Amino acid sequence: MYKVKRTLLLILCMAVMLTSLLTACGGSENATNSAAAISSSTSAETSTVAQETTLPEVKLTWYVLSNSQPDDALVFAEANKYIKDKINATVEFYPLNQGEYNDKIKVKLAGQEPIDLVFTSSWLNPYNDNIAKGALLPIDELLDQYGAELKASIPQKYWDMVKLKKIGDDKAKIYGVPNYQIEASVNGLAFRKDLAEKYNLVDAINNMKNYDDLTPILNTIKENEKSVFPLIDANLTPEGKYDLTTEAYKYASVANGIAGATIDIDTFKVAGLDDPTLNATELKLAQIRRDWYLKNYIDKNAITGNVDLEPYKKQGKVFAYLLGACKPGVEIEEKTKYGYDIIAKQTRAPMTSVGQVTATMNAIPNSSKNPERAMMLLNLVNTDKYLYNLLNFGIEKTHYTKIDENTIEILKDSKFNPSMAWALGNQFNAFVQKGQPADVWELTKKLNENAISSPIEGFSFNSEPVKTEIAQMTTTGLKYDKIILNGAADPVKTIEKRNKELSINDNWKKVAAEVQKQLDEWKAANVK
Amino acid sequence: MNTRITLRETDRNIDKQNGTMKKIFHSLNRNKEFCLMMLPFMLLIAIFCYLPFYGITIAFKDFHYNLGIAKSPWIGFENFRFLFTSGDLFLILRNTVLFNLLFIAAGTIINLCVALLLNEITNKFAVKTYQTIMFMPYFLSWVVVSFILYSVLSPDLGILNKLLSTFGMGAVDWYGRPELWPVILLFSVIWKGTGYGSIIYYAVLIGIDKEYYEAAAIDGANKLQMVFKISLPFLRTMIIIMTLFSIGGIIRSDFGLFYFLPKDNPLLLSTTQTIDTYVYRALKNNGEFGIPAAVGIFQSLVGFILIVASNGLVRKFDKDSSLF
Amino acid sequence: MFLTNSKGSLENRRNKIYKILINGFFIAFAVCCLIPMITVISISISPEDDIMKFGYQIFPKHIDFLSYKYIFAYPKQILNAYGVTFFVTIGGTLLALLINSMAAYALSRKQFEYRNPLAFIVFFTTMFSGGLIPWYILITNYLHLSNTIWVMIIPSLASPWNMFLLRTNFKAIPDSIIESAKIDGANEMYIYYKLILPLSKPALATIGLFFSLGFWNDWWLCLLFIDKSGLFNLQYILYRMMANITYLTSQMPLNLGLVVDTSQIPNESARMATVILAAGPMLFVFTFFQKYFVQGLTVGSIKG
Repeated sequence: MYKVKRTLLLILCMAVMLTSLLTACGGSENATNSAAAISSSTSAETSTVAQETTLPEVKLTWYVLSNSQPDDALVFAEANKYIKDKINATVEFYPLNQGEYNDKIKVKLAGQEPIDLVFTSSWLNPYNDNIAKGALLPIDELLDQYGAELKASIPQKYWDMVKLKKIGDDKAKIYGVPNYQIEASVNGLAFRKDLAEKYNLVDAINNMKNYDDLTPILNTIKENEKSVFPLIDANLTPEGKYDLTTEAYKYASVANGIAGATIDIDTFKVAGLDDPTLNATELKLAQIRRDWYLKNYIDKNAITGNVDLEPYKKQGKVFAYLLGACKPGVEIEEKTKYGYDIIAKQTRAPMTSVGQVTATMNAIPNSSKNPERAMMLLNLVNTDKYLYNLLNFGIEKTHYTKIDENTIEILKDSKFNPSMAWALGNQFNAFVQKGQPADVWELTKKLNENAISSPIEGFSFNSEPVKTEIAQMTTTGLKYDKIILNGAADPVKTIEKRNKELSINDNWKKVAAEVQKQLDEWKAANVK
Repeated sequence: MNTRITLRETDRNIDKQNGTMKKIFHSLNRNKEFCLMMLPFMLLIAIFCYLPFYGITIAFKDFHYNLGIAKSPWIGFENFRFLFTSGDLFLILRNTVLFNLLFIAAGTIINLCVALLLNEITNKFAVKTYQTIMFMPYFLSWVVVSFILYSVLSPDLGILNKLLSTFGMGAVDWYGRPELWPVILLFSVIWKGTGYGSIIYYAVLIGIDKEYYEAAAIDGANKLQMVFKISLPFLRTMIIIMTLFSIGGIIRSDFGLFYFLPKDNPLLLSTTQTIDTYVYRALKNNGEFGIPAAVGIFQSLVGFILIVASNGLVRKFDKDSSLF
Repeated sequence: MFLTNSKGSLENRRNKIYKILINGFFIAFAVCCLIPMITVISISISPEDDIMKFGYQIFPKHIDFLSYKYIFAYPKQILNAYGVTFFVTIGGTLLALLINSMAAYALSRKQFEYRNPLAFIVFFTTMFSGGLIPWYILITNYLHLSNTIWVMIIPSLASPWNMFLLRTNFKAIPDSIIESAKIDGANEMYIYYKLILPLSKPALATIGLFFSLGFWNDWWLCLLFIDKSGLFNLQYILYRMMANITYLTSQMPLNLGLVVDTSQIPNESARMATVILAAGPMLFVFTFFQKYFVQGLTVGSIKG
């Protein structure tokens, strides 16, 4: 008994010691922080006393979409010195990666925790849902007042595209700042160049007109290269287009591409599950994919889970794959990643879409205690080259070296290289990395400018009124889409079954009607 | 006159109040030691479970973050519509309930068997080794288990198919055959959970005085008789408690198991989709709290009714084993 | 095992076969559990090329500790996480055992008049809850526990499930023992501390193990309430790594033209190495608790 008591005591003592240790650590961290704050505030006084005296000091919190790095503390301290100087604020940066971002931020937003900046987008921490739930602050006025520079740095048409009308509001408002970069989606296909040349397929690839033209190309590879899969994922046209030319496509999907609510952009009408043209295309594509599946062009593992294409690409085990962004310099990018030369073929003209413009943004939550200062910070990050590059690449000589004014080389074993420039701000302010074409940003800007504008550009669907229907339809989609897209089962039967399920409770018709209603409203207000 | 009557009445009332107060006071005094011992636990329960209880109203509200729970508008049973009008309701209910029944039955039997057999081994070192090794899989999360399972079952690189082909048998497309998955999932659960699940029974078994067994042996009882006459009666209360708890969760499911192991394969959904994975998949990305809360209430209610009913049954036959 | 050998060699031989069968069963089971574990270790020390070429192997073709080097390249974070996890596990388990066993003892005593209503109040919370959001608001805005180490301990201290299991064990202790102590003038606290706890060592060890596993394996509380990297626990670091992989491989940002640097994805051997690092120490903890329920209890045995 004594022994037990003594060990218990011992453990308790240890516990107490540990706590004091930990709190001490926390304390010292605070101490250094405040010390840094003091030192920087003194420097602030000397440099900008005159212009910033009216701003009281505040603390901001920013949940950055990023990968945490060993030198986070160092870089953030450096950034804070600069920010303090400029807008008299200290920023707590909390880097969260893509996997944890939703889990963590959803609860914080719902619990109205005072946060000043969050990442939001069409695919992560969804922008539309956040607005519908009242999570984000409309920033139109703030932008005019404190972010004039930022507002001017991004073309007006993109601002119009991030505008959304909340139910009950009389006009659409801006709820987030897009991280200005490639704003047009350009789909394309990548083919391994060495194999294409070996079997004289280059011309065939360049002359492809439609999906059917792919079959003989894939077949050549299947017959001659035993260790290479012609394809991994058969879904080569995400928007369901049969033509593989750069002609514009007349259908646009809404609500994460849910079946039954596609918009015919020529007529401003919703094309539902009963649209003959759409149905014919879908069936035609599905039958081609079924044919591929049966001929073993596809790795049959692909239907399992989310396919991780990376290992296939790294090992050179795949001949053709989808390029999500067939943009300037993509060949070099792919080669540095996987070590193979590729032939990149655009399969759709560059086109601006709401989904693309809202693909990466930063926004101010409703719960923010200092929205004005948060806007100033956004303004700073998006327009100040030094700060933006500091947060992206770290400190010069410690983390990277400059080759010339705009080109840098990241040091080997750099302890700060989150590689998430696209989630932080205006990417055109970024240094060009060694290996990238020097004019990469000019080329991208040109691509943006030349992108086709869709007639419904700027329309975004608010799914809140039909959220139950969409949730039910989502589960149906999960059940059948991957099968149809990979040809894993008889297409006619599968599509029939799916459509039957989508019709339960008249789900797709309700959604289609809602889309049509919102589209009509939008048209009345925006199309002259 | 009037005043006197009223006075007397108030007197009596005060007396009465004093009586009940006294009674309460006495009762508290009698139980004060117990109350004191329960205090920290009940405080924690009160703070962390009962204080946030108002949140249950989210299920009946159109929850807007900026309005908070209290000010969000009521919408009746709208949030319940998602589950109850779903075309898959029958399928996911069936899967959830059947899997749970399977896990309760198989789990109890296997955990008991392992505990009983472990108790038969006299060599301390052997017991420790077996227990430690059987416990190892418990430390692997379902995500990691899903990697391992894939390495065993994958169609071309999988260990199992390689094994089958060496015996001259054809490869099986494990991820394309939904009918096999109840067995695969059951096997995974047993593999991962037996080390953990058997401990609780084993702890009871080693607490039993060895004299009982010695006396039974002298009387000429065989092993099986000892199990049924000595071990199981001692284990009964524990078995009942464990089963009661499992019954309460009969329409809930271990999310990780059903979500990660089938690798999101659409071909397997017919036998692996449960209520929890269904709701998660439908609302994965958006910040919807009302619908999951509504589903949660449904699950709680069913579990609650089942557990109270079965607890009532237990009370009838064996008062000491009941939960409350 | 308690049979005397008086019944001759037939009995002896039967006993032997019986023992072989039991041990055979356990050895088979153990092999089933060991192989995947060995595979995990094997992957963690395999070069990435081998994994791509041959898939998962039970024994590595080449040995390479690169993944461990990768994880320990910046050891500060991971060592710190170990510290946090150890503190939470040890402190949490001790506190939880104390609080839950006291409550369990009170609820196990027939003399306690409120035991049934209280048991019901406790049980009710296992079925119904107010949900995540109000609970989150309570902890962050009213109790101000976020970004403190206590947030990983306090919310999971009271566990109805473990409390009921303990109560079941305490109930099995014969009343006569307690009554005789009462006659000697002992109060309830004394009985609980001097009689019940020593008598229930196997049960306490079991529940203690359950608690410590709960604290050790928890990443959810850390995810919700901890922002400061100095307070991250081990499982959370493992979780965020795994979660990131799942997302990066889903191709979502890629299809939108966002550049994802795949070198940020730890390779498979690194993933498995983290599994080993996270689970390894707990096996020692397990054997620590095990000692209390493997030793044949002669003093504390239960008499009916």
